[in-house]
Amino acid sequence: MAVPAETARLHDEIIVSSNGVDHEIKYEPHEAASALLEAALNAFHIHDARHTYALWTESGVELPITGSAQEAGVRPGDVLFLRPSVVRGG
Amino acid sequence: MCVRAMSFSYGPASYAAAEVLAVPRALLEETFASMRSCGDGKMECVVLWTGPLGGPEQVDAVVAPPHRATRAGYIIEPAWVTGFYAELRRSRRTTRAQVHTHPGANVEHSGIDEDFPLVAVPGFMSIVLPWFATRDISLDGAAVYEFKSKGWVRRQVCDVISWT
Repeated sequence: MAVPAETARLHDEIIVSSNGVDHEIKYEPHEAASALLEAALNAFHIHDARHTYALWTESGVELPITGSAQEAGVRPGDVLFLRPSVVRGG
Repeated sequence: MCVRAMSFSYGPASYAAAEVLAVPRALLEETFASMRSCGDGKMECVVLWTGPLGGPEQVDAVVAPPHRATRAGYIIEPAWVTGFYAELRRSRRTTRAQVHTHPGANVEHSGIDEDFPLVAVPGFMSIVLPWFATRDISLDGAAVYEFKSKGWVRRQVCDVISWT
């Protein structure tokens, strides 16, 4: 049976939020989790110190960048937060 | 001489950087009070200026993040940041500036200031207050840096902040 278009669209998207701003990111469950992070960084036009950023779950767990998005626990419709792992100054 | 910056926008349509931030004077007083209470003239301290997502020029709240600090630096509690971002999302607000203190008169950005901010997208401000914010409640002697596409650029206060 055909999946309604709207449902199909939702099935390969997550919301990435950073500093109060949301972006919908399309992804494939079997693509590398690191590719999802790259897509999020690009969506937010973050070009500096990209290695200091990670995606975090709503429960505050940092998403691993090894393995696939699915293996990292990402599910369609999830909300992930893009943020630097460390915020410091001196 | 104070020359107004060119206006620009960046990133998603739902987020825009104002050319000048409108900051209530009371908010500067609150910032200094927080810095003095927390840093006690002995340690660095940090606060965040936030405002509504739909009002790019508006700064209307001070957030004091939990952090650890020494005389030479600070680190915001990593576990707090995700919850803060969730709250910003829920309330449709955003962080416009990160404000922190330095021990003496030197308000130059350190390498750590440059590399580990909360936000590094064009239009975001980083403000450094001298003397652990123990002197006059003013941005005289402070430095304001704006993140631009090629990194942090020092700006004149009057170019980027309008007191309300």
